[in-house]
Amino acid sequence: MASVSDVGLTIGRTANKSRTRSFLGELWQDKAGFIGFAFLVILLVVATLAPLIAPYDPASQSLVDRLQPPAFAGGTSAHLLGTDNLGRDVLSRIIHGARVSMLVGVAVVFLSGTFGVVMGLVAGYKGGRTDSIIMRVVDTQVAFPGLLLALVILTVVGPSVPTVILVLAINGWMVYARVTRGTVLSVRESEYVEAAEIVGARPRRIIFKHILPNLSAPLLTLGILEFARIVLAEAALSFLGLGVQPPQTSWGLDVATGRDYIFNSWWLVTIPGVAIALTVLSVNMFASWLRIQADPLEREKRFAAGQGAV
Amino acid sequence: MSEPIISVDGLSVRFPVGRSGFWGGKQRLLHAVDGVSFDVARGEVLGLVGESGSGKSTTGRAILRRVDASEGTIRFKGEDITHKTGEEVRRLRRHMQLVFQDPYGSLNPRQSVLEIVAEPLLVHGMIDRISDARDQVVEFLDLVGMPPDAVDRHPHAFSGGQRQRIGIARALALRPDFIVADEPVSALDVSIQAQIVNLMQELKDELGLTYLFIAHDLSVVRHISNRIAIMYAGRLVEIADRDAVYETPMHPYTKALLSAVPIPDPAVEKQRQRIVVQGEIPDPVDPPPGCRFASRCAYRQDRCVEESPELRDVDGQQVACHFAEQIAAGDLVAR
Repeated sequence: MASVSDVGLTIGRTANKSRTRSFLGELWQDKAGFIGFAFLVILLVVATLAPLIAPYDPASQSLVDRLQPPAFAGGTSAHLLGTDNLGRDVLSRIIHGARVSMLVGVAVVFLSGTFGVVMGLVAGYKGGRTDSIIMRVVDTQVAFPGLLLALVILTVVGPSVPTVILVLAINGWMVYARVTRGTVLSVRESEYVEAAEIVGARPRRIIFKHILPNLSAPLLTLGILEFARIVLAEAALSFLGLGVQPPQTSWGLDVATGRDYIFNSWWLVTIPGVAIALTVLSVNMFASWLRIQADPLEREKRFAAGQGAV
Repeated sequence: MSEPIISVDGLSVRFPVGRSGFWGGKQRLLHAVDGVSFDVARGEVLGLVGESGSGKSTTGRAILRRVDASEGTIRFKGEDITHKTGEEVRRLRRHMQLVFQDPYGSLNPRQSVLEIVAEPLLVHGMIDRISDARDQVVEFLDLVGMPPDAVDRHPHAFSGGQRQRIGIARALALRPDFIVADEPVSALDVSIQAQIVNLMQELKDELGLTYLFIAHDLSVVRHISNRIAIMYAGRLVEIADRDAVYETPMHPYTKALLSAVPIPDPAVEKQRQRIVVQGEIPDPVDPPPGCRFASRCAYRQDRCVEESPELRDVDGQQVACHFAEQIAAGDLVAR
C-alpha cells in the first residue's frame, strides 16, 4: 500500500517539476514577462522576510540623521536610500511598506474582482429584471462619492489594514460588474454558448466554462489597472489619516508624508513612487504574457512562429 | 411511411420587438413563423428551404425548444413537447440535437476537441470526468472522418470542413434520434459542401438518424432529402416529395427558387428562362392579410391579396396557392 502511494507521489512530483520547468522555459521566451515575474518574486520574498532583510526598524527615529540623501546622491552607506524627516531609514520603510501595499492591492483586487465579476456574469446572463436590479445598484454606487463612503466607514469602524481592504473593495467592484456584463452580453449570443445550451449544459456550467474563460483577457487587464489604482487609493486614505496607522507603513503613506519635503528632499517621494511604478510595470509585463499564454489561438500562433524559425 | 418522429401542427413563433407609440402602446410582434404544419417520419430527411428571414431556422429551433412556440403544438414521438421547460427540455436534448451553420462560431475556441465532443456526455451524467470519454470521443471522431490525434487540439487548428465534422461529432455524442441541421454547409467552400452532405448521408444510414435539413439553396438539399418543404416569410408554401418539387414545382415561389439553381450543362442553362422575382418581402411585424408572396408573384390575382391560401393537396403535392391548378395547367399566364 505504502509503496504504491509512494510511487504515485514521486510521479506527481516529477510531473510537478517538469511543469514548473516548462512554465519557466516558456516564460523565458518572453523576456519582458520574465523580468516582470522575477521582480514580483523578489518583491514577494522581500515582503515576507522584511524583518530579516531590513537594516533598521522602519519606525525607529533618529533626529540627528534626519533628511539624509541616498548613498548615490551624496549620502552615506549607512542609509543606502537616505532618511526621512524623522530620521527613519527609507530602505527599511520601503521593505516593510511592500507588505502592506502588496497585501492591500492584491486583496482588494481579488475581493472586488470576484464579487464584481460574479455580479456582472449573473446580470449579463440572466438579463431581464435581475440585470436591471444589479445594474441600478451599480449605477447608484457609482454616483455616490466613493471617498465619502470610505471616510464614513473608516470613521465608524476605525482605521486598520483589514478595514482599508474592505472599504476599497466595496468601492471598487462596480467597474468589474460593468465590464463583465458588457462582455457577457456579446459572448452569450455566440453560437458556442447556444451549442452548450442545446447540448444540455446547465447555466452554471455555461457561465463558468464557456463565458468566463472568454472574458479573461479584458478582466486581467482591468485587474492590473485596478491594482495600480488601489495602491494609490490606499495612499490617499493613509494621507488623510484613515488608512494605515503609524508605526505601520506603506508606500502610499510614505509618498503622502514625503510630499511636504518634495523641494529639498526629493527622495522621500521618488523612492516609494518608483517602487509603486516598478511593481505595477512588472505586474503589467507578467500579465501580458499570461494573457497570451491563456489564449489558445495566440499560443498556437507563437508555436507556429517558433516552428517556422527552425 | 412509419409513425412521425416529429409532428408540427400550426406552429407560430412571434418575437416581441418593442412597443409602438411614445407611451408604450401595443406590444409589436414579429411574426417569424406563422401556422406551419408538417411531419417528419422516422428515418426520413426533410429539407426545409427558404431565403434569409423566412423563418426556417426559427422553426428548427422551436422544434428543439430553443425558442418558445406562440401557438401550435410540437410532438416528438407522439409526445407533446410544446410546453416542456427546464429539466424536461434538458432531457429531451439527449434525443434531438442541432448541427450549426457556422463551424467557426459554434466551437468554443478555448476548449479542446475532447472537451467539445465529451461535454454532452458530461452534462448528462454519462461520464464523471472529461478524460473518461477519451476512447468514446476518438470513436466519434473516427465516425466523422477525423484522425484520433485531433482529440487534444483546439478548434482553430482545423479548417472549416474539419470543424463542421467536429460539430457533427458533438451532435452525435448523445446518440440522438433526430438532428436539426441548420444550414450545415452554407458557410463552407463548395468543394467541401459535398463532402459534408455525403458524410451526413452516411451517418444517417449507419446510425438510423432522422434529419430536418435546413438550407437556403435547393441544390444542396436535393441530394440528401426525401421530401422538401419550402418556406416563405414565415409560412410553408409547398411541401412534397423531392422529385416532385424538382420536376413539377407548383408554387410560383418554388418555381422561382428552382430557376435560380444552376444546371451543369451550358446548352440547357442558356435556353432556360430565369424567373427573376421583383418586389419586397412583406414586413414580418405587420404581415399582409393575403398570400405572403403576393407582392412579388407573377401570377397575382385580386383574391391573393385578400385571402391567405391554406396548404392543400394538389396532385399529391401540398401547395399553399389559390391558383396552383390553373398555373400547372397553363391557364394562368405570368405577367
